[in-house]
Amino acid sequence: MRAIARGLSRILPTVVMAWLIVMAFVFATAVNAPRAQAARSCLYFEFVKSTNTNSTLYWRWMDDYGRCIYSASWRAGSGVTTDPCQLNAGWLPNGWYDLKSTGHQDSYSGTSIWGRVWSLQDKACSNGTLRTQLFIHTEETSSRTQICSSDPDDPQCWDSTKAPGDSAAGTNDFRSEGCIKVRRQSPEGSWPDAMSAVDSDWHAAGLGQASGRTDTVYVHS
Amino acid sequence: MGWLSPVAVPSPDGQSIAYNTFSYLISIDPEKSWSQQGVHPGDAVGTPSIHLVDLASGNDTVLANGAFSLAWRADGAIAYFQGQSDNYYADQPFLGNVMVRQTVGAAPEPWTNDPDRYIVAAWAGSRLLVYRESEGEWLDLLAFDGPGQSRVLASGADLVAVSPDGSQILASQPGVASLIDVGTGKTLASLDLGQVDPVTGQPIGHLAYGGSWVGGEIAVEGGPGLVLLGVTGSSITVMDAIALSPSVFPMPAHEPRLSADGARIVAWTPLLGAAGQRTYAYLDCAIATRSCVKGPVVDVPGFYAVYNPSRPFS
Repeated sequence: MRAIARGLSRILPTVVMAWLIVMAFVFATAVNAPRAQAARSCLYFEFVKSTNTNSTLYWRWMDDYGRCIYSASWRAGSGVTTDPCQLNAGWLPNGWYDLKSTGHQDSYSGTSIWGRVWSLQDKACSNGTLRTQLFIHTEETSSRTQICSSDPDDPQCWDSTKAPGDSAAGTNDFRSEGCIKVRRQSPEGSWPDAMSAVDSDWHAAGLGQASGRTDTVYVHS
Repeated sequence: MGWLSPVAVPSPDGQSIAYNTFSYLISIDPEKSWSQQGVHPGDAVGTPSIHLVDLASGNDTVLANGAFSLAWRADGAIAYFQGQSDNYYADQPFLGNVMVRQTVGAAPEPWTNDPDRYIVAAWAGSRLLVYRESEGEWLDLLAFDGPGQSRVLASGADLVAVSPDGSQILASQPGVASLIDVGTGKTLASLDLGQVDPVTGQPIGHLAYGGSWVGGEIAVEGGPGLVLLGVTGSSITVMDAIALSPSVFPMPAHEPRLSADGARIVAWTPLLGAAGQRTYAYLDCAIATRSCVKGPVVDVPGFYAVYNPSRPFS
């Protein structure tokens, strides 16, 4: 019996190492699976609501093993209150969203939103109130640059301003009238460039601009 | 429209109520996307309309189809948004104009030059306050001095309340609340919303539309729940606040009405029922004790306050 134990103790590290190598290979394969092969039924953003300024956006896709996984997640915000029926203030209502016919754009030029955007369908909240003009976006110019001044809330700059009650810089701009907002690179801080990662994942999946798409965002608490 | 503008407004003479309704033409499941429900962009989804109820007889009549949001002036003139079509179509902007009738039976007169996404908010004396909505539900607050005569009073703003004489408004913008002279558009005083409330010591952060202004005090949704502001012609101060525990009240208290004696605030709040469905209750709050009593829980969608935010009221 002791001999068996001794033998196992010698073999075990090798077995464990082999298992780790196999798992690392599986994980790497899953993360790096060609996104173009991912099934359409599992290729969408998932927005999990926690707080108005600190929720999470996931990019979900299906790997070669048929698993609906996410390769990355980013801090994101929505609204300034937790009532999804409150126009201009509440976070997004739960449920699935199609993209409008204008879809994703890399150089959107609007009157209050610019740059990289995903235009979401209108959505009725639970009491029937319609939320409209909804986007995933950041704060930048239509050419994806930053115009920052001493103003604590420049509309085309991800400002360093802290959200109320948050000790971290660069969190106030997660607040919105309802849209999902993702942070980007800014001269006012050194936080990760999440919007570029979101946009890169979108295009790496073979998805383009200016076209509608069904079931592209799923929102829940 | 929610309660960005009151859902139901009593007439200045107290004889009737005008209210907004939205009739869905198809069955809607909020959890599903349009495509999951077989709805295509451009499909007719529903019809907004404004109704009048005679409080003596109970008669309910349609004032306008394809219309929503209204403001009733002290002399009986009524303003509302009239869409270019009767129906709202999926993912299409619902464009239209602001119309004013001198009486409910008079012919409507357009006050806007171009169709846009307008929401009528309130009268401030003879001036009409209207939101113009753009991407991301961004709201610009406009003042109309008459037909075709508009100017931006505040950009990216919520109208919190109109002063009793109609000469001033309190508007809330990201990070700041401003006391604005309606006639000149001049900002008379500002309140930094990074300022902490006296109950929790946390920044107020946000003040919402649908507040009420009585004398020199304003009750408003925001901060830890409800905030009481003191307003003079040149200053805004935080007088008090009432904290609402998120574990009991998961969503904010809306459309707070300040009593004439300034002692109580009545608001309503959505609740979550046992099965996760949305229910509602009103809250009757005593400012002196910073406490609220919850009314009976109701499960009727469309539980809103009935009030007229226009000033002067009569």
